[in-house]
Amino acid sequence: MTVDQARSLFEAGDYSAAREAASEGLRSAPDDVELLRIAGCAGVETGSPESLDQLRRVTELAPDDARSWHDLGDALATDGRAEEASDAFRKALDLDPSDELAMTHLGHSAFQSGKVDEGVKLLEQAAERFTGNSTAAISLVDMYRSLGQNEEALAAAVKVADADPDDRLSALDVAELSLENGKLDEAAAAFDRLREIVEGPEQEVWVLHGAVLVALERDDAPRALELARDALAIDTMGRTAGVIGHLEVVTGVDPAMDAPRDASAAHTAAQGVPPTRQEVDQALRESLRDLRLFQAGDSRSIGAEPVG
Amino acid sequence: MAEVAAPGRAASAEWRRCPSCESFVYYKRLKRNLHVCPECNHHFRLRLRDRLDQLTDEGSLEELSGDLEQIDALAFSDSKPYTQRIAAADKKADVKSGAFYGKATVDGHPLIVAGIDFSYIGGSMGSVVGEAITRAAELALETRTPLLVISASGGARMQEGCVSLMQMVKTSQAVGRLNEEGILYISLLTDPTYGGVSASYATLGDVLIAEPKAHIGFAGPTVIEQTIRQTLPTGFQTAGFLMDHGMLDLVEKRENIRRTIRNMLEFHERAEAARGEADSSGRLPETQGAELVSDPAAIAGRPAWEVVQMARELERPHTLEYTGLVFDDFLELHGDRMFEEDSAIVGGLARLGELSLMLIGHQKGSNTGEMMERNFGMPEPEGYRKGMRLMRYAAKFGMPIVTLVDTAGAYPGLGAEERGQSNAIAESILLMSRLPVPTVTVVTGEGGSGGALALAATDRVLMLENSYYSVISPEGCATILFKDAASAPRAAAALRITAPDLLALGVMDAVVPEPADGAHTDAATAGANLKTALVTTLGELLGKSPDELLEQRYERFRKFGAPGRQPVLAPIED
Repeated sequence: MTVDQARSLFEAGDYSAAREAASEGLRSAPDDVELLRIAGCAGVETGSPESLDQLRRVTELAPDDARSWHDLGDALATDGRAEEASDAFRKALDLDPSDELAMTHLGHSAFQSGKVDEGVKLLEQAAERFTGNSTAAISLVDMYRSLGQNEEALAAAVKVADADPDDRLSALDVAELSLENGKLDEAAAAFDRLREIVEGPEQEVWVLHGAVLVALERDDAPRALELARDALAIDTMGRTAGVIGHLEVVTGVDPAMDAPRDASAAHTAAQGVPPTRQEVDQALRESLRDLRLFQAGDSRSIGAEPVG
Repeated sequence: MAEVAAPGRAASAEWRRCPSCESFVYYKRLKRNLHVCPECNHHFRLRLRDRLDQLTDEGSLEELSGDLEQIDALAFSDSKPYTQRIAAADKKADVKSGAFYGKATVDGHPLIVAGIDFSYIGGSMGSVVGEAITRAAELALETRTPLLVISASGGARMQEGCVSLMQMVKTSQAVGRLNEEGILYISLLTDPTYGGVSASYATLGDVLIAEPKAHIGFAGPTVIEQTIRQTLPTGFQTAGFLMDHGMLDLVEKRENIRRTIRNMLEFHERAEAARGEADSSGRLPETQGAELVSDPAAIAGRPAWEVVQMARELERPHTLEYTGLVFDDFLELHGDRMFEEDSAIVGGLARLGELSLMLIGHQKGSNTGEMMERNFGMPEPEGYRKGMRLMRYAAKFGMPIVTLVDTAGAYPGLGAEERGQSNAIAESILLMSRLPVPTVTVVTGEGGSGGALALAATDRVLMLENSYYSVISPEGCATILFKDAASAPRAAAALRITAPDLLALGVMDAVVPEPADGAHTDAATAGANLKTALVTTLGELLGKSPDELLEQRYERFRKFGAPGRQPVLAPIED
C-alpha cells in the first residue's frame, strides 16, 4: 500500500480505510513519517487510541515541521487534553507564524483556561490577519459579549454578518448588540433583515418580538403595537397575547373598536390583567433567547460538518 | 517523501460554544463525544442524519422517503408564500423535505426507522412528515418489523392548515395498527418535541425514550405562563420533569440510547419467536436452587410473629435485587403515562434463559433514603397504573408476567384517595384476572392485603418460606379485634398468614424454600431458589393456551370460600 493510496482514502473522507492502508504500509516502514501522519490523523477521526502515539512519533521524526505539531495539537485537543494541545499548537505557531488555525486554537484554549486577555488577543490577531477565518471572528463576538464589551462585540458581529449575510445567528447578534448599544436604527434594520432570512412563522414571531422591543426603546408604542399585531397574526402559540394587552393599555386603543378580533382573545388569554412594561420586556427578551437557542441548533448547526 | 495535504486541518477549524455552560468546545472533541458537551453534559441538538448514523449500523440505512414531496394544499402565504419557505428550506436541507423513513439494522437487528429533522422549518409536521411516519408504520406492519421514530418538532405546520392537523390522526391510526398487531414501536423524543407531534404518534410508543433535559410538552412554557400568569417550576417540560410525572419510560444519555434500543429489540425478538412456539418452556434455563415445596407438613414452621419480623428484615432482597440474582437481563421501564412515576412499584423487561418476560414488583428500599424515596414500598394509584400499563404491554407481545410482592400495603393517604386508590387496585385485579398470558406471583416479604393482591391475581401464587400474606397487618388486627396492639403476635397466629397455613388453605400453590436463617442472610441462595421456583412454575404454564389459562385461573380463585371446595384449618392449640 502506498502513501498515495492512503492519502487518497483520507482525502475522500474514508478514514477507516485510510488508517488501515497506512497501518499496512507501516508494517514494512514503521518510521515513515507520512504513513504515520495519515494513520494518526485518520485515527483522530475514527477515535483510535493509538493515534496520539503515532502523531507524537511524527513530531520526534520531524520536529521542525510545523504541521507535525499542529496535527499533534489537534489530536490532543480532540482528546480533551487542553494544556498539552496548547503546547503543541504554540510550537506549530512558532515554527509557522502563518498557521492561522494554530493561532485560533491557541486563542480558544487560552480563553477557556482563564487566560482571557491572551485568548482574545490571539483571536483578534487571527481574525485580522486571516480574514477568511470565521471561527475566530464568531468566537470573538461571544468572548466580547461575555466580557461585557458590547461595542467590540457589535463590530465583530457586523464583520461576520457582512461575510455571510444569510447567517441568521450573526444577524441576530447584530440586532441584539445594536439594541444593547442603543443603536436603534441599526437594530431595527437588523431585525428587518433577520425577518427576511428566518425560515418559518414560529421564528418570525420571535424576530417581530425583537422589533417590538426596539420600538418600545424608542418610546414608539403605536409602532410597537403594529409590529405586535403582525406577530399575533402568525402566532398560533399565543406568545404575543400579553404584549398586545400591555400595548393596548399604553396606546389607549379600545380593543372592541379598533383592534383585530384576535386582540380580544389576547386580552382574554392574559386574563384581563395586561402585563407591566417590565414583564413585557422580559417576555420579549425571552423570545430573543428562544430564537438564539433555536438558531444555535440550526444554522451554525451542531452536527453539520464544519466548513474549514 | 510524498506529502499529505494537511490531513485533519480543515476539519479542525471549528470550536463550538456550549449554550448551557458557555464553554468553548473543540468541535472534534464534541463530535467524538456524540455532540454532548464534555464540560457539562449538555446534549446539543443533532441533525437527523447524524442521529441516524449514531443509532444504526454503518451502511445499513436504506432510505425509502426519496419520493416524498411537499404539498401546498392551501396555496398558503403569510409574509412569504409557503412554496418560497419550502424552497428555502430545501436548499439547506440535510434530509429531503425534512422527514425520513427507511430500513436499517441496529447491531444486526432489523428495524424500520423514521424521523423528523428539526432544522427543516422547525420540524413542524406537515403532509411530508405525516406521510413518512405513516408509511414507516405501514411498512413495519407489513413486514412485522419493530418501528423506531425519532421526533424533534415544534408541532403542527401552520402553513398546511387542517391538512397538517389531520396528520395527527393519520399517524396515530397507523401506529394504532401496530399496537393491535403486537409490533414494537419505540419513540425517541429529542429536544424539542411539542404540540401536534407530542400530542399524536410521538407519545404513543410502546416505549418512550428521551434524552436528558430534552424539552417535551404540548403548549410551550411562555404560552402557559402568559395564560396562567404564574411562574413555572425549574425544569418544567424537561425530560426529567416528564419522567417524574410518569410520562416516559426512560431518560437515557445519548451514549446509551443505541444500546437500549438494541436491548429492546433483543427482548422482543425473543418474545416474537416464543409466540410462534406451542410450548416455549424449552427457553427456560437449567437451575440449581432448591425445589418448590407443596406439602405444608414439609415446611418447618416458625411462629407467625417471628415470620413477620423476618419478612420485614431490611436486608431481605427486594424486586430490584432479585433482578440481578434471578434474571439474566433486566431493562426497567417507568411511568403510568397519567400522573406520576411511583417507585414503590418497579417493572420492566426481564430475561430468564431465552425467555423474555415482564417483571413487576414492589420495591421497599434497603436504607432510610431509599425507603423514603420509594415510600416504604407502599404504592399510590400511579404505581398500580404503571403496573397495569406494563401488564398490557406484556399481554400485547405475548410475554409471561412475573410479579414479586413485598408491601405492607397500598399507601393510605389523602392524595392516593383523591386519585382513586381503590379503583386502581380493583382495575389491577380485574386486569390480572383476564390476562391471556401465563402469570406467576411470588410473595417475597410482606403480602399486605389489597396492596399486595393488586399484583397477585395470577395463575400461580407462591411465597417465600419466611414471608407472610394477610388481609391486615397483625398490629392492625390486634388493635381492632383484640383491642390491644401488644397482641400482635397472637393476631399474627390467628390470621394464619404463614406459608404452611396458606398452602393448606390453597391460597398458595407452593412455597419457595429460604436459606436456613432467612433470605436476608444469604441473598444468593434465596435468588437461586426463587429462580428454580419460577422456572418450574413457568414451565408448567408456557404450554397452555390463553383459553386454558383464563379458565384455570378463574377456577383457581372461584374456589375460595365455596362450600365444599374451601379447605378448613384445624384450630390453633394453645
